[in-house]
Amino acid sequence: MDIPKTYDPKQAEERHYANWEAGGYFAPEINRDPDAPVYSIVIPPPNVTGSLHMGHALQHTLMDVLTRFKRMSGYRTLWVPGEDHAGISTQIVVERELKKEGASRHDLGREKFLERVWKWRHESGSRIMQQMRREGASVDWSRQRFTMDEGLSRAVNEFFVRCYEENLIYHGEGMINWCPKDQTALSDLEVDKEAQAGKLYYLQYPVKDSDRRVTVATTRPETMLGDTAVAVNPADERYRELVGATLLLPLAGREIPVVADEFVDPEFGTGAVKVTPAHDPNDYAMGLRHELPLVKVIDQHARMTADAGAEFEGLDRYEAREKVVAKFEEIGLLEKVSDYEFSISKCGRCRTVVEPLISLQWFCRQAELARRPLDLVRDRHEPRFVPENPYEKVYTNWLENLHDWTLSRQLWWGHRIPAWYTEDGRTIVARSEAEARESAGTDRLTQDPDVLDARLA
Amino acid sequence: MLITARDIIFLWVSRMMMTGMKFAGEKAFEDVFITGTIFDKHGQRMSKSKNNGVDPLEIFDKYGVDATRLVLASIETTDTRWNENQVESYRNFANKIWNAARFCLMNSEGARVGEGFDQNRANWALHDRWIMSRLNRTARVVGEAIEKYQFHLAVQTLYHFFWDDFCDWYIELTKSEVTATEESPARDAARSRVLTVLEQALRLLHPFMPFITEELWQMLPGIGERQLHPAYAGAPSTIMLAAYPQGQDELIDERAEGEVQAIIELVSRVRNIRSEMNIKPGEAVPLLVGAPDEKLRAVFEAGASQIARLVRASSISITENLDAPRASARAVLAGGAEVSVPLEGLIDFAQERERLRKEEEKLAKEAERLRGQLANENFVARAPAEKVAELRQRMADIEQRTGALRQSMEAFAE
Repeated sequence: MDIPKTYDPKQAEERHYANWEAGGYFAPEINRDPDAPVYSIVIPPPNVTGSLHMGHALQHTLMDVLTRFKRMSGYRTLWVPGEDHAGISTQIVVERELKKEGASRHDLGREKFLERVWKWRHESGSRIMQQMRREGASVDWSRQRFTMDEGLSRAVNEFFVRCYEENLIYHGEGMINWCPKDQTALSDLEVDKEAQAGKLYYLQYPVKDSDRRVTVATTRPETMLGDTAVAVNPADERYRELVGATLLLPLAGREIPVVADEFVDPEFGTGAVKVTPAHDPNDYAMGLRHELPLVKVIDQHARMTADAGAEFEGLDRYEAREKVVAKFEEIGLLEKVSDYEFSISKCGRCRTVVEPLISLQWFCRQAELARRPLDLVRDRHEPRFVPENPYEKVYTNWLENLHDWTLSRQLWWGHRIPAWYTEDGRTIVARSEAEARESAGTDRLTQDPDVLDARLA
Repeated sequence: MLITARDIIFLWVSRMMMTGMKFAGEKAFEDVFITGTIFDKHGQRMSKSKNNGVDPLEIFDKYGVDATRLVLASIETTDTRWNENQVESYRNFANKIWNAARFCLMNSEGARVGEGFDQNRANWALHDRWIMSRLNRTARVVGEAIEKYQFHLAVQTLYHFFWDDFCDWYIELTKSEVTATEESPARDAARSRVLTVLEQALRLLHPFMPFITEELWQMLPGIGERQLHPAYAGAPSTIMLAAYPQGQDELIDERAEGEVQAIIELVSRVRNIRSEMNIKPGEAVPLLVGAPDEKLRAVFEAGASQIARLVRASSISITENLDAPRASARAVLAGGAEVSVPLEGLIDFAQERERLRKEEEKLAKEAERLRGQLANENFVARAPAEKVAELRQRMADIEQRTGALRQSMEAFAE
């Protein structure tokens, strides 16, 4: 019997994988037993822009061990491979290519740009799938999916329409994470929190008709131009008599009230906090509670608006910060500046500091959707997490604390939002343009330019 | 079933569960398995910006995919620092399997997988009963482990079976039959048996190491439809579609395992003695075994020729009580048995005494130096905890070794 002295992994790997794939052993059809039980795994789709990393290799190995074991135990097994179209990552990669050619996506226009992205996807987008063959993954290639396949696209639209009809999806103004550089909204998952060494500024606001001053501490002095209240904790002795009083907001030249709100932490800073509903998610919520006006002082490019006052209009937010602090010092209302380490939110992609902004976006209400899964995990411990501890708890916490999910992205590459607008301002959500036209009773419709968060697929 | 890593859990799992329950009325998954995270060797997350990522493709090229898969499967749910030595170690494991299979194949004339085992188990030799017990026990443990997502346990069990049970012991115990120069039905049967065990073991290992197992399986004489799972009847012969061994309870034989374990221990201890005493590999030694327990004695007697072969004994005497000369190396075994290798004539006592004395001296010097370091408060406070622990361990090792040396020196006392 002729067996080589040493084992040559590479040639064995290539040869056997090719045989297995050609032989159709990965497909469930190879199992001829009509009563065979079924076992299926869907791969968490890696990004089409990606390349295999250790995390993938680990997951794929475990999935392959299970699939092969089950297949050898007589199960009809199906392990579906696929890729995620990865909205912003893909768009960035193709835009970079265009840049090298001296062009931008605006030069091409939306349609041509998308053609270009599909072309890229066919040529270089499948690298990770080739790498999976190397790993020995016994996936059924004949059933490979892409998150922008027609079938999946239809499913996404269906989901959107149904949720909209049940008022689970709404179009409205909400606080979102905005990346000033990429010019798009980001979900909480696309934002990284980093610890940063910065400064805490103590600003003084004079009380109207009094010598007293209230001090607020903030890491973002430039936002004070948008303050519409100062809040204190109702149980805080120090500020008891000030609730309901009026303060003179420096630099902005307007008056703002002192309100009491349980949310304020008496231990942080001075116990009095400035409230900027247009520029901070907590303040936005507080603004709703106390019906405070919104004053938008920072725009989408992280520059100060006209509402910030002529002196600051047009300045970059950090320039404005310096100027505000200097002004406060000039008029003797800067109490002190101390070193402070805090967590700052950055765009996961380009590391630009995120600006919380109010914006017209599509949102999905999560609380209602989370109800049944919460019941399931609390009553029946399903799905079963391995290891149970701590992950069942993490999952439950997550479900209990969901914010509304920001669905829209200001990108070109992705699932176009199935919403159309009529000339007289009506919004039509439909499964297709044809359906929208019928519903609207007119052909004169413009589709929402945005796309859906890639995770929705 | 979904396998994913920690960060995605929040997003993906919860959303799939929510939409699944809303639109399909049922949960998207039965089980959700969260893998551990692989960090770099300093415990940091791998990232592009830190440039500390390990490219799995490079590892595949260097050590082969199967060895890498074993390391990854062992990670399971535990956060781990990447250690390339582990992959190298499993690459060595792959080579060991290859070499063992090569031995079987080079001695496979007249043999076929599935043959060689007598219909009546009572006629099986002890070591054959033993290996089939180990094989079936392994199949049970591994099958259950995979069902419970205990991948680490599955890998360890398979590793131990292949390396220790099959390669190191079964092949040794059956070698004389398998490599007999004269062709005979007995030789054919022995060869068939070893191929049969190997074939099933490869099937057990396949989900973890698909490539090397397929490569070897295809070479075994006698593989074909018979090994396939009935659901794949008529399909081409590939280990991918072979039936996963279930582990038959009736083949698990506690007694046989206990008996062979006693022989393994005896052989291992004698081999240790040979190495400790620096006895040349080619030199045959007399062996004295004392076993008060009569069942144990019977086992040793029945296996005497195998034992003699495995330890290179010139003679072997098995008695109830050990009557060993003073100048001998001894070891105590489980079950109250004792073994001794008389050293008279084997070793130059004076030379051996001198050698041992020199080693003791060297160790004493090192111990003194270490004691000094460990007594130095400054040093202990400043040095990294790992280093201090290392030194303490070395001290402990030296003490142990010195004790063993002194014992040996007694044996050679004038």
